[in-house]
Order: sequence, then C-alpha cells, then structure tokens
Amino acid sequence: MKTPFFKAVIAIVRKDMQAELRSRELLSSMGMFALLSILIFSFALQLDIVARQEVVGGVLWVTVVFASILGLNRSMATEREGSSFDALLLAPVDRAAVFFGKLGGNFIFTLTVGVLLLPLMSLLYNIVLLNGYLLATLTLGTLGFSITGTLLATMTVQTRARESLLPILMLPIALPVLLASVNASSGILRAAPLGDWFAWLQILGAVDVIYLALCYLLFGYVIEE
Amino acid sequence: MAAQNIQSVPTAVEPSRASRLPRALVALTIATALALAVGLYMALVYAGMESTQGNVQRIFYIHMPSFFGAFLAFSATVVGGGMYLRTRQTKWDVLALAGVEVGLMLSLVNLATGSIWARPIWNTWWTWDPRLTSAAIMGLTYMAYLMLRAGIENPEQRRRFASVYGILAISTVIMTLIIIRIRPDTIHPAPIGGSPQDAQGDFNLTPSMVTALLTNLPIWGLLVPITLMWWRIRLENLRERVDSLKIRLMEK
Amino acid sequence: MPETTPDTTAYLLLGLTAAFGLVMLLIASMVLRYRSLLKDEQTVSQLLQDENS
Repeated sequence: MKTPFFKAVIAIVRKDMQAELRSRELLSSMGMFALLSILIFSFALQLDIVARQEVVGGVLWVTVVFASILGLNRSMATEREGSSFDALLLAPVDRAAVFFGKLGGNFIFTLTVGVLLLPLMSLLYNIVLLNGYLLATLTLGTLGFSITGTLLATMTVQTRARESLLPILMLPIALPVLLASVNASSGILRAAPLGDWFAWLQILGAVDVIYLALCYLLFGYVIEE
Repeated sequence: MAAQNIQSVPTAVEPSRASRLPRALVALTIATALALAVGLYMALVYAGMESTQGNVQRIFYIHMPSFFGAFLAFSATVVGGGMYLRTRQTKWDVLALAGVEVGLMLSLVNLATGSIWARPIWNTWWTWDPRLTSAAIMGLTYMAYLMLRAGIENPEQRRRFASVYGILAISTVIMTLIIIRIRPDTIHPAPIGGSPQDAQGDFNLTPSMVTALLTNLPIWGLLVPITLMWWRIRLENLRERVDSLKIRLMEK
Repeated sequence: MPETTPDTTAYLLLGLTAAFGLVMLLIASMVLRYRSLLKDEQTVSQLLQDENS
C-alpha cells in the first residue's frame, strides 16, 4: 500500500527538519555564508545612499541564490552519504512526493536564511528592507530557486563532478527567476509606484508555476535506478 | 526530421557501413553550400547600402537568421530529449546532442557578428545590454549541457540527465527571445514589430533589404542547422558503433 | 540634410570571417572526430577478427 501523497510529503519535510534541528549543519553554514557575503559586498562596494538603493536588491539576490546552492549541495550530499535516498525510493511513496518533500525542506531553509538577512541588511546598508511586498518577492524568488535547484541537485549529486556542477547547471536556468526578483525588489526599494514593478512580481509567479510543473514532470526521470 | 536517418547499430563487423553516404544528405549539403553563396550575394550585392551605418549593416543578414538557426537546433534538443525520455531509443538522444552542438555554434555566430556590428555602431565590443547578456547566458547553458554529459560515465544515465537538462535549457532561449519586450531599457533594435524607445543603431528596412533578409532567414535558420545536424548525427552513430565494437572486444 | 556614410567595410569583413570561420570550425572538428573514429573502428574490428580466427 502506498502512503497517501500529502502524508508522505509532510513526513519527508519533517525528517529533514528533525535532522537539521539535531545537527544545525545546513542553516549554520548557509547563514554564515550569507553573513560573510553581505559583509564582503558592503566593503567591496563603497556606496553612497543612492547607489546603495540601486544595488541592494542585487546583493540580496546574489547572496540568496548562492546560499541556496550551498544548502542544496549539502542536503543532497547528506542524503547520498547516508544512502537515505535509496531508502526513500524503495519506500512505498510516490516519486512526486519525494520531489515535493525535498523541495519543501530546501525551500524552508533558504527562506529562513533570506528572511534573517532582511533586518541585518537594513542595518548594514541603512535601508528599510522590512516590507510586505519584498517579503512576497523573497518567498516567490526563493521558491523558484528551490524548484529548479531540487531537480538539478538530485542530478548533479549522481555525477562525478558533484558540487562544482550544480552552480554551473543551475544559474542559467534560474536566470528568469533572478531577473524578475531583482527587478521587483529594486522597484520596491526605490519606493516606485506599484504599476512600475508589479508586473515583475506577476512574471515571477508565472515563472515559478511553469518551473514547478516542468520540474515535477521531469523529476521522475532523474531518480530512476 | 533528420532523426529518421539514424541507422541502427549493426551487430556484424562491417567497417564499410560508415562510408556509405545517403544521397539525400549529399544533395542537401550541396544545396546548402549553393544557398549560402546566394545568401551572401543577396546580403553583399543585392541589398542596398544602409546610409547611416555603412557596409557593416550587412552583417545583420547573418546575425539575425543565425539566432533562428540556433533556436531551431535547440528546439530539436527539446524534441529529442522528450522523445528519448518516452521511448528510450538512443537515436533521440543523438538528435538532442546534435542540436546542442550545432545550436551552440550558431549562437556563437550570432554573438560574434553582433559584437562586431556593435563596435562601430555602439562604439563598444560588448555592453551589458539585457538581450546580449541573456544570449551569452544561453550559450553558457548549452556549454553546461556538454559538461553535464562529460561528467556522467553510465551511458543510459548520461542520456537521461542530458534529456532533462536539454528540456529545461530551452527556457534561456525563450528568455532571450522575449527579453526585449519585457526589459524596456535594452538598446537592442527589434527589426520586427517596432524597436524599444531607446534602441540605438536602429534602421529602416528598404524593400531590397527585406528581400535579402527573407532569403537569408531560411538559409541560416533552416538549411545550415539541418545539414550540420545530420552530419553530426552520422558522426555520433559511428561513435555508438565503435563503442559497441569495443565492448564486444572486451567481452571476449 | 545629407549625412556622410561611414566606411565600415572592415567590420563587415571581420564579421563574415567570424561567421564562416565558426561554421568551418565545427565542420573541421566533426571531420577530425570522424577520421579518428574510423581509425578506431578499423583497429577494433581487426582485433575482433584476429580473435575469431
């Protein structure tokens, strides 16, 4: 008998959460990386207030996308090392449930890091980043990275090059997500009128839906034995 | 589609198979070569000179059609990938790989000609124009495809993963196509359907220019990619045959 | 108002060289790969026949 779909998804997400609560390996390395990254950016780009408003969206997104790659690599490598991935595939659950389960875990971790970055960046860059629309953009953008990342990391972890291959494969594919996210956040941070940037948020949502459908359909093919 | 011409891997040892050329391929190759000469004539002689840009504008007759050639080749990769995942027949993956190599070459032609045109017109070889950036990333995506293939030793897994990535990668091509419509700050002229407000180096097409463009479009957009992909498929079939012979040798 | 047309022929020639050069590069690489595979095929089938006899 197969475990019902949603139950299986929640069980996989919970498994990742519990493992993380015990080891705190993922969140600490992603958080540390993100912190270092925005510090380095603030030193490297000695900016006045106008320029800061222009680039802070870019800094945020570059940091989030690399942190998400770091997390994906780590989380998939753990699955591989403990061969819990094989166990998951042998278990009587839908392959799609495995996809949504892993996606859920990766998404929650990356979003946590992103949300923690907002107050910190507000402080360091002296721009108020706590904003409902920005939070929505962050959620949708992070979701887009997690969708493509989950599929591609499942692939790259099975190849010879492993960790080094994921950013190469993922960055170009995630480009539409990145472009829409950066543009929407820049508009929000400039306090531009809603009409100027809201279309970007809609594009971001559409890209997320397309990628979700595509990656869900393709996921079955990357975990065959 | 060129995929129908893929021969199955023979079981017997017959080295002469490779040298047998399909007549259709020979005819197609000759036709393509002749068409290229005609296209060149149309671009260099028939079309009138553009008065503000001078002769360099003629590069446009190759620049834009080569993008559509790349688009066709990358579309073949999507079809090949999808069909491989459905049927698990090697020939579809061979088509996908041929599409990537030929498409990559044509997008390099597109980038190089664009860059050379930009030097006298925009006064720079390279600018971070959204479409230019997107086209460059498109090329990098397909280089990543080749790296992915090189990183997997199991042939069945390599084909499967490559098919998945080949399907996903088309998103960067679509992005390059539509980006001038959604990023209004591009300075890239759009020859069809009105350029963005601040496009630089835009020009109006006279009837002779339209004719030159319309002759070159099917040449670089259809004939060149199809002919090259067919040859590339033949090359890959030979590789498959040699690989299967090597396996037989090792089994002895 | 007559504008002078700039002489950009050199760039046109450069562009054409680049375009056809890239096509030739792909063709040359395919020819080279094809040749080396034919050589491989001959060697391997020779070896196979030797083992059979």
